[in-house]
Amino acid sequence: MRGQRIGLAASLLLALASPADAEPGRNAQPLDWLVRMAQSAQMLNYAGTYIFTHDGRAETSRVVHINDGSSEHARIQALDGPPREIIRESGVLYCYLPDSHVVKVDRSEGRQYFPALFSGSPTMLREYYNVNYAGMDRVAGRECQIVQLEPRDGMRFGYRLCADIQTGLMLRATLEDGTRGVMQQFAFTEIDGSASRTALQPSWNADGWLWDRSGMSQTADSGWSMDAMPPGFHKISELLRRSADGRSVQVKQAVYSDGISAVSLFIEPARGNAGEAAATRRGALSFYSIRSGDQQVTAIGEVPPANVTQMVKAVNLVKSKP
Amino acid sequence: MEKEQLSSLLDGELDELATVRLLRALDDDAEALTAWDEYAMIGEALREREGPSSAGVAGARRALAQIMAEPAPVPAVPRRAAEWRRAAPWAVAASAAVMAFVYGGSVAGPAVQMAQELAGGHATSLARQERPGLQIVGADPMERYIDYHRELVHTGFQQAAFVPTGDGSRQER
Repeated sequence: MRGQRIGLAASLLLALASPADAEPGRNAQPLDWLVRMAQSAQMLNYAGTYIFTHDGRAETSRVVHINDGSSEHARIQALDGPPREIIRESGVLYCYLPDSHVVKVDRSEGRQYFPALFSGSPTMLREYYNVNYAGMDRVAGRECQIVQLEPRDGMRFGYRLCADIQTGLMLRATLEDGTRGVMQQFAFTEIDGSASRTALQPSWNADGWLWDRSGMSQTADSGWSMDAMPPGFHKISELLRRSADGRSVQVKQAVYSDGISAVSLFIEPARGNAGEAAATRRGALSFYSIRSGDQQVTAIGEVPPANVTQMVKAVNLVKSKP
Repeated sequence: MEKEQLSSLLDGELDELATVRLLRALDDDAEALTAWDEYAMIGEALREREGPSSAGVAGARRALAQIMAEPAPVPAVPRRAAEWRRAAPWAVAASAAVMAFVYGGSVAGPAVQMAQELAGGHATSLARQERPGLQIVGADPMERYIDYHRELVHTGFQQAAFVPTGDGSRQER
């Protein structure tokens, strides 16, 4: 057993690329672990199975990640429900849906998949979270260091991240609310460094399938400005989407993040009469939607209701001059 | 009652028999009723419909009563999702109809789209032809927004996040 563990550690370590292989020293600060988690998720080669639990549900996925030195490649397979999988290849995502013989093609930039959790520099997180050690734990049979992110204000929830002692890879991420406890969690159930290029191949031959590339041209300038967003949040991506009912009108989506928490803002032409605005929660997600002129503005994110409310109210639909 | 069951109902994942049982069980479960109302309220907040809300258990029951009043062309037997397409498109259509009525939205949400995918694309047409009193109107835009949100920034692999839209071109990679 011990030999097996050593072998696993060795294979993971062999897969490491600098600088993620530098284990934080004895004087390492919790923030050093956040940096290492972010780097490891991008630099390491690994294959593992993780479970995402939320709203009383559990979804299991298999991930293979390879960094060949020039770009990242990944394959994520859903192990529950209808078969489907995502192949990430040279900045492009291919989502295979065998039941309908469809491959959706989209850009991969700006998309984060576990164990990559940070959208920006982890050092920025210090401004909005108290970052502390919270003991040690064991996840997927591997020792890990717990780093706790406690929010400094009411605009975000807290996180407990457990980083593999040997590789720095995030093995578990828990989203917590001080009053409700654990709301969401990602956790590897098994992981090793045996990822190979062959494991990146899709499970199906998609010749003759429908290749939907409509998502490839979805970059957009939102056309609105933000007056007073929650502290620390900045725009990380923006795109156009088809309207929810399939009409030609498109929905604009912009994503704002403080580095780990994220809020999506949606703007589309309003329909019907203006309703009463109200912030609502469903599990970890908060919602707020109001009608502004002839537009419906909606914010959704894994943040407290105060955040989405402020986010929506910050929208200025009159575009500011450059 | 597990909230997961309510969620499954909203996602159109329950067959007809399970839908009936769940709605009947709501009578005796205050917590589940609260959760149900919360889901409906979220939908209302985003949908901003005209007139009084039809969401809620009572609305679901009315929809269910109309469905149950007509003979089912296919026996509603619990099946694995992959079997629905071959064997029981009507069962999927039925629970999708209840979900759509409860939500009362005007858009085709991913959950309904997925149900229709599983049903071989017949769910909507069957429901419209055989249950004129009901209209398949789809799930709430909130669900689509959630999918959009998680597809971009979340680390999860959401079942409905990549529901095919039907447009695009057939081509080789």
